[in-house]
Amino acid sequence: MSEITLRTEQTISTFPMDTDDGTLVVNFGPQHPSTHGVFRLVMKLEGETIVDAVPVMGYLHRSVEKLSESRTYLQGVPFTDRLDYLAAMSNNLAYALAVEKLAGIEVPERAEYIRVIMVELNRIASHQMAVGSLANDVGTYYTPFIYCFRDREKILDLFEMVSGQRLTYSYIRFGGVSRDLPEEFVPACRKLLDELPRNIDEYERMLTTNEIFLARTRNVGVLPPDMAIDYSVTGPVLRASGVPYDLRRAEPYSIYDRFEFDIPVGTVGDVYDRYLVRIQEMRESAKIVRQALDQLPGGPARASLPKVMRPPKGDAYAQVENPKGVLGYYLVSDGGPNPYRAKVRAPSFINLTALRPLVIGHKVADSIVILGSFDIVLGEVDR
Amino acid sequence: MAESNDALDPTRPAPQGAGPDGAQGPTPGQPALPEALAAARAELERLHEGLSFRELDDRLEVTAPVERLLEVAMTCKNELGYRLLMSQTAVDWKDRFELVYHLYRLDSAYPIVLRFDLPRVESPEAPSLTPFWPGAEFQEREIFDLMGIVFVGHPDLRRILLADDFQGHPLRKDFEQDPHYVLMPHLRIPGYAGAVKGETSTGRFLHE
Repeated sequence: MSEITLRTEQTISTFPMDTDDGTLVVNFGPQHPSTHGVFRLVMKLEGETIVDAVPVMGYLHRSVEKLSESRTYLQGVPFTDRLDYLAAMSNNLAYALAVEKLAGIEVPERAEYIRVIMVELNRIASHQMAVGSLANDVGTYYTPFIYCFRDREKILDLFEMVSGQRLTYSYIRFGGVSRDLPEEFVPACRKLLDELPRNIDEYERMLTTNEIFLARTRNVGVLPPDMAIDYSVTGPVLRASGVPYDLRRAEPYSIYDRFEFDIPVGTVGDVYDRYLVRIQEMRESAKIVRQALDQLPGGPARASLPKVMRPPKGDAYAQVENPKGVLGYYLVSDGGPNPYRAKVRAPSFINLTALRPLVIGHKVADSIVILGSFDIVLGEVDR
Repeated sequence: MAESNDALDPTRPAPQGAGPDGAQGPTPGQPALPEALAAARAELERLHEGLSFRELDDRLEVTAPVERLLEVAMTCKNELGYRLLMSQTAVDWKDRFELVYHLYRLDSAYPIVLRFDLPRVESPEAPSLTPFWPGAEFQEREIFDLMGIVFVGHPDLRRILLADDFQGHPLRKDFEQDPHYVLMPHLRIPGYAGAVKGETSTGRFLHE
């Protein structure tokens, strides 16, 4: 066959498939256990080295932005859960902050603290998933993954306690949170925080000094800091490259300026650094949750708002530090009950711009590890 | 735990080359003052004409004609240090398109928001930022895909989220979905699966 015709009649317009130069075009995804979702990477190989790679996405595109234009602001909250479904609390928070900026809503103190607790617990859960699936991509056949998930289940139990959901919570809404914490939450959360450092030590015992893990991840997919900034990369990938940019410090939203925590920063910018940054971020998030529990005040958990929000005309852009990067919500209001334009600045989508230059020159096996270290969630990439 | 690995040490200072001018990143809990924005505005006014400004308490909005897009963006990046292109988006006001770019500095909480108006035609054109910000590649493709704005100079401007053969640009306010659009036309079996204009998808359960 001189030409490979794809079943969907889409041809890759970036490079021709049939050439005599000895290269092989291999398709990776969209159905593949290591693509972290329905993501497709078409690779042009010379032997086992990647010469070019074209990411193809859009398999999970659900037109969230267009749908938001025909829903009220409150009806748009469940959409936010389903963007980065592994860190739904942070997505909720970004949207809530954007609507609050747009409409000038004040949030009660207790709600702010509850939000921080939920978002940081979600960060731990998301990083546990990220570390577990990175270990999977490297080839540890689900052992660290299950350790990470064993502890992630405890966090999901806490979330089920407050919102009734395990994955897509719609808990943090503009004006506060949807309902106050039940009584059994704080003791259960403290119990989790007591066990968490030992659990993270367990993951590290398995991976951090493991010579196979080091051999697979050291100096693989090195992203220099200037390149990272030019590629608009944010999140742990940017910090692993040596740029100490964390939105919780650079642009403290909510009440993050009241907590003491550090920003882990890498040196080399390889896959190993990204793994270390995520491990350390889990520890820092546990610190933040502990401080928030100690400072948790009483009071209402949500502001009283009209039944249908009609923010004044204008626009607002709010960003949060998601576990994957910076999630931004740009909302434009025309005075009506629906947003005129709701735009999601998705970190996984923008971080993927840097995938292609990083992967070229590496072997196929490395490309999977690099993709795993980017920690993408297709719900966010495609919206 | 590997104590020898200094990347785990949170008290380690940030490495060299961390920021645009050797800055060690943001100082904790202290966003840069809006005076930085006033200085940025003065600099932009000095270097370019035809700009209009709007100073708000959390951002500086710069509106400019599209011909000035590259110059203004380059000034913000090179002279003013707004290196992070956080977000590129487009809004369809029914009489025009508007491009909205958010630029951030690494050490400041206050962005410069660039706004450019484009005529409401079938394929409005705007210069692409990809030569200077490679991270604009996917964002501009998305704007092209969903809004139909053509970015001149983009290395690979084609649809990114929708199927390659999709007709129309859905985020436009006047977009009408063809109810008989089928994603995989080669799988259509007439009367059984996949609709043809004038029929329902199965051809059998017609509501008459």
